[in-house]
This record gives sequence, structure tokens and C-alpha cells, in this order.
Amino acid sequence: MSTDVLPTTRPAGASAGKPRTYTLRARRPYGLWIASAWVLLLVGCAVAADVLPLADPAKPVGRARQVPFHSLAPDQILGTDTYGRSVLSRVIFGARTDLLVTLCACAFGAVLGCLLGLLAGFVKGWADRAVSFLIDTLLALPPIILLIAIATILRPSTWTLTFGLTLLTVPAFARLERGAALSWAERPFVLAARSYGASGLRIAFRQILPNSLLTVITFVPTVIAGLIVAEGSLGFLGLGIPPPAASWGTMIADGRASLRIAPHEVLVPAAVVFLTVLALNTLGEKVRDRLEIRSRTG
Amino acid sequence: MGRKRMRVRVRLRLGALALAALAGVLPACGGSSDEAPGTAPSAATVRLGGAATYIPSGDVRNLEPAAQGSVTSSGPYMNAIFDALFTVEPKTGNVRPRIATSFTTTDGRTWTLKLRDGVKFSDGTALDAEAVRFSWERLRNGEVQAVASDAVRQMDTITVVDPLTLTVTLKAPNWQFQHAVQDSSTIWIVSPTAVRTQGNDDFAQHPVGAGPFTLKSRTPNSDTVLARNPNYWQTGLPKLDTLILRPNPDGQQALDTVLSGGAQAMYDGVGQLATQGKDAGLSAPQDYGMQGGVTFLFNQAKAPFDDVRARQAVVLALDLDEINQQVFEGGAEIPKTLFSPDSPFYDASLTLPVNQPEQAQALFDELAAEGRPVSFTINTTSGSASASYAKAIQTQLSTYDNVTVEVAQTDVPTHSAGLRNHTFQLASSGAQSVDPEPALYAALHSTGSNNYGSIKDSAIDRGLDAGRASSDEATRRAGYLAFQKAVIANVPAIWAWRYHPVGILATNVTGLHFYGPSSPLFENFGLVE
Amino acid sequence: MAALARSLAGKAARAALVVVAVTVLTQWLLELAPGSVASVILGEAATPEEVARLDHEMGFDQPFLERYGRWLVNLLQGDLGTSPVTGQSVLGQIVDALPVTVELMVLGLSFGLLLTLVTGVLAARNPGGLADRVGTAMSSIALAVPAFVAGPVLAYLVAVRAGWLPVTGWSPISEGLGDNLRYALLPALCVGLLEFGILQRLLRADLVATMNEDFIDSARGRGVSESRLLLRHALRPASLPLLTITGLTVGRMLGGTVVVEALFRTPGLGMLLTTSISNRDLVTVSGIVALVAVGYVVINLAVDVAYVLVDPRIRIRAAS
Repeated sequence: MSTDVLPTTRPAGASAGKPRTYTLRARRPYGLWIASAWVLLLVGCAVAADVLPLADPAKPVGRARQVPFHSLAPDQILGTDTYGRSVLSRVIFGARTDLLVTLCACAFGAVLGCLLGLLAGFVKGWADRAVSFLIDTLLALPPIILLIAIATILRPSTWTLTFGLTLLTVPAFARLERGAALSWAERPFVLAARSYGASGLRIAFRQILPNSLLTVITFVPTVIAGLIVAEGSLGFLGLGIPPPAASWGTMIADGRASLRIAPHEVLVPAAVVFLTVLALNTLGEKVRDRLEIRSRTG
Repeated sequence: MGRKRMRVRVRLRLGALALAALAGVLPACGGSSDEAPGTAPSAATVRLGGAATYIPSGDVRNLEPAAQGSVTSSGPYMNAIFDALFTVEPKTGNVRPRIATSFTTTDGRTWTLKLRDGVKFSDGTALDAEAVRFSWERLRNGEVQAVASDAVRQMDTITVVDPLTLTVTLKAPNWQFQHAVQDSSTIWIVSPTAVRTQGNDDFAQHPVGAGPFTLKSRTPNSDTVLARNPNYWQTGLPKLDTLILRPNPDGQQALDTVLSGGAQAMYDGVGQLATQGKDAGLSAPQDYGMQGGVTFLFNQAKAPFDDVRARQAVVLALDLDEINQQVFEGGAEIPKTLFSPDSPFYDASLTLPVNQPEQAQALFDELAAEGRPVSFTINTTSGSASASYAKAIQTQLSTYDNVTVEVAQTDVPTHSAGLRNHTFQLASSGAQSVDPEPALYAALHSTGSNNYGSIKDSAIDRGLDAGRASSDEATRRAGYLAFQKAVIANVPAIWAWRYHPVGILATNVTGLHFYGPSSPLFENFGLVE
Repeated sequence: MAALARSLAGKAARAALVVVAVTVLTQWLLELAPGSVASVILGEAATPEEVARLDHEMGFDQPFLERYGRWLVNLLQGDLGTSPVTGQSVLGQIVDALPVTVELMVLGLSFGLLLTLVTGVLAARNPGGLADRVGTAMSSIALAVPAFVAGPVLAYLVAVRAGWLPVTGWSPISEGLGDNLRYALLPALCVGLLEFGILQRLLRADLVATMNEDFIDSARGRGVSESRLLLRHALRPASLPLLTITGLTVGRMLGGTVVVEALFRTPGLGMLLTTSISNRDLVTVSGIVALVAVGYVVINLAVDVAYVLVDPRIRIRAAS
């Protein structure tokens, strides 16, 4: 299922470390600027949604399924949805929902996953076995079972959704960190530190974590991008944010019924999802490039 | 109040809308409708042989009649393999002969079934009174896990009089029992020989009946392929050599499939797709004016809807015509009266409450002032039309003060558990029928088996009892007029939209006949020359 | 090699534990969901008493561990049980549905991998160049357009408007390969698009990074041509992570291409799973989950072995 559009875990030993030496073409980073601007705009709107002159996203502002730009009033500029609610307002409040849910899920997942991964990759032995067991169990369980169970036992809500998405990201982050830790633990400078008698904990947190964290961090935007799509799939399966709250996924899922008569109900949030995912992935890559350049020169 | 004239005969059927999620898990009580006589083309235009595909609204769990809950989705499968004992003419309530030639009573308690001579199952054994007794007994003696059914519950003794005659006595008199039989799996008769030799488990996968087709192959959730039964009791029929049933709960997708030639016929319960199909050049000739539809049922055993003013306030607050535009692009029919104009029990003056925003706001304010604010959750099944409808209700009510609404979308078993255990506040359920019997009785009578709303209204009970206790139309009409008044006063539900079943056919097929909400009869279904 | 064998045995034992944990978790979680299979069998008109009676008859009121134990013992004897809802054997249902999902997976993954290799290699020849940017843009699109948007749009354009392919349904291979492919193409495309989006990014990054490794430099110094370098020297180590991800992907996709199967009414494992969950058919769900878990575990074991064989830097003792 598409809730699996989860981050691509980079496995152990994947090309970590060696700084790149070929020359990037000297180009002004327009892509980075545009991507950053878009993400900043979204975050700004999401944070300031309450003070912006926007209609209540749960209340009707006019007739149903008005096309974008039929009126230049701010509430109707992107049209109205099946129930006559402002699409602009719902996209912006949806940004708040999506960013909050995915950021939280990503943060919780990253912290939990990295600790588990570090434990597994560095301590090895029993810890590795225990963590690998946990990760394998989570990965071997079809996510839909987990999500349906969560949605039926706990009632669907923002926090249930965050919880479910967190569970989906933990194995990915744990695998990522475990692989990176395993790989870094074999590197000469770590072996050297060991031979100088540095304590395990010190090596884990001072040498391995910071180094491997770079790999992890570069994946955060990609993870968030994946989670945004996953949130949408959950909306499609009826397990998303409960109405009337807006999220991009539920907007797309709800609008699907009128795709032929009012395509903007799907296309507007789909375009926002598209741009956001694109921007996040671009950011992720550029950040990785920057970090690697820094590690080369620094 | 803008009252439009409309006539309905309604039988309430909870949870039985032909929706995706509901397929195959619903109760054995469907509505019925006319069989649309006269649409059969002359024999010259229909070719004998060939293959055609029909899209039911959902797959069946297996092919065992006892396991069929929802007539809406199981009708196509069961009728093709087992045929139907009889169908009921909607206006008069008279039995239309098929395998049975008559089903009559003189006292409302003892019913006599007469069978057609010479009908054989596809295994060659005779479909006689003993076979009917066997089929009915196994639904209640625990030999096979049978869906709970009102018809079976009402039966007391079943007696074979002679090979073609059978009597059934009821626990309590019911002059309208034919409706209950038509709307449950009692209408499909199994071959006792096949059940005994194969065993129940194998029979459910390889059924033997007296229908126009026999099972050739089956992939669950996909195609069920049926072949012509050469020993069918109507000589010269069926027209087709091969009938394929390819279920799809998504109506739009089903229509796309028919439009692109992937199937030749489908069924639409709302009427919206039929319009779309006709615009695209398909035919939708069979519209039987089927009544009933979907309701949102108030739970009168729980706050806030234990107070009639809260129920009135919600109903008065809603503009259902606007919701129709939003959810169905105006393609559904919003009930203005409980019974539709072609029902003998229709009265134009007995209209359901309609949108009165000021009055609704006054009631919300009044209740809030008393410390009983109208705050509730609507339970609905995810992905269904009723889920969209619930969101529309929520959006409309958001413009009022002192009312808060949540919408909980769940899967079907969770939804059913909420209904059965009376833990809901307002919940979507199905309502469709031709006669108030038996489904309105089951849903609204205080002793009804499907009285999920915990309705205890003596006026409603009296009306329903009067309608059941007679076969005389005038007596029944008096009872049901009182019943309609009582329902309007009690406000047990939001009457959301009317059921409106239509067959949608590609241009190269014809002869599909329906009874009930979506029970097609396939023997005349064929390809045009 | 004895160490490898021991390590493998340990992994296998842990894999078995994973299967047990997954099935326990599934059965326990689904028990907590409202509604029981008895209520589904008896239909909506059943009274709570009737439901309770059937629950008792089917033994669903016995302690959880007792029932799980019995299920596990039967499983070890190769008996997955019979679905109380359909009356069919669970194994039979899975045998019917599995090939459909496997076909979608194989087709989808082949499509995704093919596109990945082509765009990845083209991108790595000239990082930052036009081919690179086009490939990255394509993968961004694939990642940013969810299957539930891509599916209906593809179906509308290709099937409804153009009429080239059927909108929904399935035709088994046994009925002819041509028909089968016509039905499988669109859903497989939907599956593959997603995989392409994920895999392309990985391969491109790793190829570019590998091209800067010392051994490539030295090969370049020996005068090996760029194309040969890319295809023969860089692709092999760079495809390692791809291998792992593909392994994970297969395990994950075994869980059901649920959305895609629902969109195209494809009678695969995902459809069987969702239908069974909404029927509260624990027996069938447990069977599928056990199968998926076994499949996942076996594939990852295989990938682990492959990994060790290909990359000597990761020693077997490090992992065991």
C-alpha cells in the first residue's frame, strides 16, 4: 500500500564517508532558493493561519464547487469544495495539519529509531539482536493491519495518525542508523579512538552518532515528503484526520468523487502536495551536497 | 413549508444501501419492485447464445443462500443459480408466480405454497415441497450457519401436504408474510440431494439450484462465471450461454467499465449514474420507482436525542436539497413524504419536516439554555455516499450556534456493532422498500428486530400492527396513515435520500429484469442481433 | 563457512520468532477491534444474544493464548484453517490470490528497476546535467503523485477515454497471456511508478558517489572508458543498496499493493486482506500475515547473504 511510501532506508555500507571530489557545475542554486522559499511560505502560512484573513475551514463560504478565480474574494479565490468551503483556507489549514503530523512523526521516529539503531549497530550482540527483532517485526507486519487496528481501537484523531505514522518511520530510521553505525564503527578513526581507550559511550555519541547523523538528517526532508503522501493514502482508506479538519490527503480523498465535474477539488491540494514533496526532496539533496562539501573542506 | 407531492411505499432496511463497504454483510431483507413487464424485446432482436457481463454492487461471501445477508449484492448470484420462488407485485402485494404458482393465506397465520409441476434442479432432482421444507428448515435448525432473518424467525411449523403443496404456520398472524419471504434467503431453494451428498461446506462452493445458470468457475472478489442450464424450467431460456458476474462497489468505476465495453450491464441505486450513463449513450430503461432509501437514525436511548426537540432541531436545521446538490449533483431524490406517490398508503398532506433555520436555531438555543446542548457524533461507514452525506450535515450544522457535530467513519463491523449495541447517537442506515412490511416494522416498531434507535412510540406501534394484521387495503391504509403521522411527530430519523434502482445497459444487450432493490432476473438477458 | 552457517541458523531462528511475534500481534490487535466474525456471519438483523451464542460455538470466547496456541500448532502441521466467512480453506484462498499480487509486483518492480537503471546511469555520466535533472524530476513526480491520484487519472485517460486497456478486473494467466497483461498493465504501472521514485534517488546518489571512489580513479588512470567504468565498475557496488531496498520493497509489497488492488479491483492478496479485515475473518488474516512475514523474513535472509558475499567490508561477525 502507499502508506509504505516511506523513506528509503540507506543500508549499511552505502557509500558513506568518502567525500566527493568531482566538481559540481558552478550554478547559482536557484532550485534551493525556490524550494526553501516554498517551504518557508508553507510553514509561515501554517503557523499564522489563525491570524491570516481566512474563512473558517469547516464552514461554508458560498456555493458548492465554485471554480478557482470565479471570484477574487480571498475566501473564494481557489474556489470552494463539495460542501461550499473555501479551498484556499482548507489548503492552508491543511498545511498546518500535515506539517504538524509529519514533523512530529518524523521527529519521534528519528529519535526512537536512531537510538535503537545506534544501540544495535554499536553495542551489537544482544542489543543488535533485540533491536533487529523489533524492527523486523514492525517491517514484517503489513502496515495496513497496524493502521486499521490503531484507527479502530483508538479513535481516528491527529494524535492517532501521528502515532501510526511514527510506528511506520521507526524501522526505517533504525535500519538507517544501524547501517551507518555498523559502517562507521569499522572506519579507521573509530578503531583508532578505541585503541586509545575511549569509552564505548563516548565513541557512540561523539564519533559515530554525529557522523552517521549526517546521513540521517539528509533523509529527513525525504521522510517528511513520504509521510505527506502516506497521510494522503490513509485519507483514501478512510483512516485519516476526522472531518471537518482539513488535511491535504483528506481533501484529495473527498474531492475524488467530483473529479470530473470539479477537478480543482483534487488538483489544488494535489498540486500543493506535489510542490511540497518536490521542494522537500530538493532541499534534502541540496542539504546533503552542502554537508558533504563542508566535510570535504572542513 | 414547501411541500412537494410524492408517494412512497417504504420498507425500512437498515444498513442495506448498495454501498461498497456494505456488500455481503447485510441483513436478509430487501425491498422489492415491479418486474417491469413489457420491456422484453421480441425474440427476433435477441440472439441466442453468447456471453455478457453484469456488475453487481459487491461480491458474495460464498454461494450458499443461507449465508446471504444483503439481497442488494447477493441477488444477482442467487437468482442466476437458484431462481426465485416468486416475486411480489409492488402495488397490490400479490404474488407473481415463478417456481411457485401461489402463496396464500386465509387467516394470516397459515400460509400455503403451491409449486409448479416439473421444475428440476440442475442435478436432475425434482424441486418439490420437500425441497422447500428442507431449504427452509436448514435456515433455522443450526445445520448451516445462516444469516439471521425475520422471515425465518416468524415461521413456526413447516408441513409438506403433497409433492407440490406446502404449508407454513407463523408464530403470530402476518397477512403480509409474502414480502418477508421475498426479501430473505427463503426465496432461494437448494437441492437437498446435492446438500446431503456434498456437505454444506462444499455446497457453498459448488451450489446446485434450479436457476437459469450453473456455476462454471469463480474467483472471489473477481469474476464468477456461469454457464447456461440446459434443463432450465422455462424452455428456450436463458438467452445467454455464459453470464459473468464481475462485482464492483465503486459505481463510477462500474460505469466506466460498461462505457469502455468491459461489461454490458450494471445497477445503480441512486439514479445519478443512470443519468450519466444515458448522457454517454447507454440505456437505463428499467426504472421501477423503487422507494425507500437511506436514513440517519437517531438513538432515542441516549442524549441528546432522547429529547424530541433535539431531533426536531437537527432535521429543521438541514437543507437536504442542498446536500443532494453537493453529494449527488442533484441526482438523488430527497423524500418529501414517508411513502411515495404510487403507494396505496400515500397522503400528500403528510409531509416530512423541512428546513426552517430560525426555528432550528431557537430549539438549539433553548436546549443549550436548559443545559442540554446538542452535541453529538454521526457514525458512518468510510468511503460510502453516506459518509459524504454526513460531512455535508456537519458542514451545514456548523453555521448554527449551540450545536457541535463530529463524524466518525468506520468499517462495517464497527458500524454494525454500534447499531446493535445502541452505542451510537446518530448513525447512517439503509431504508428501502415497496411495502412497509417487513422492514419498516423491524426498524421502527418497539419490538422490531432492527429497532436500533430504541424507538418506543405507541402510536407508531399501533399503526404498524394495524398494517400487518390485515390484507384489506382500506384497513391497512388507515393504519399506515396514522403511522405516518406518528413518524412525523416522533422524528426517528433524517430521511436522507430515496432508493432509486435502475439497470444501466450497454446498447448491445437487453432483457434484464429486476425485482427488489437490485435483484436481477437473467433468463431474458441477451445480446441484441 | 561454518561461521556463516551458524550465523544463518541464528538468523533463521530469529526469523521464526518474528513470524510468531507478528501473528500474535495481529490476532491480538484485531480482537480489540469492535465487531466479531459472528456478527458478520449472522448479519445486521442478528440480536446480541445470537452473536454471543455463535461466538461461543466457534470458540471465540476461549482465552486468547489457548486459541493462538492451537492456531500455531495447526500452522506447523501445514493447516492454515478454513475461513468461517467464505467456507474456503485459507491456503486455497491465498493460492488463488498470491499469483496475482506477485505478478503485479514483478511487473511493477521490473518496470521501476528498468527505468531506474536507465535514468540512474544516464544521470551518473554527467551529474548535474540535463539527463540527471530530467531523471530526478521524473522521480520527484513519481514520489509526489500518490497512487490514489495516479490510478484514477491513468485509468481515466488510458482506459475510459482512449479505451486501450480495461478499466477494472482481472484475467488469470491460464486464460491467455495477452488478456492477462492487458488487465495487469495499469495496476503494475501504478506500483512501478512508486518504486521508481524511491529507487532512482538511491541509485543515482550511489552511482555518483561511487564514481568518485579511489578504485574508480585508478581504473580511470588505467585508461578504462567512462561508460565501461560506469557500467562495469561502478554499477556493481552501487547496486548493493539497491539490492537491499529491493529486498525490503518486495517484503513490503507482499503485504499487499492494497491501494492499487482496490483501485483496479485486482483480486490479489491486498484485496483478500482488506476484505478479510472488514469481515473480521481472523483466520484468513492470520494466514496472510503469517505468509507475508515468512516471505519478508526469507527475502531479507537472502539479501543479507547476498550482501555479505558481495561486500567484504561488512563482516559476518559484525552482524551476528
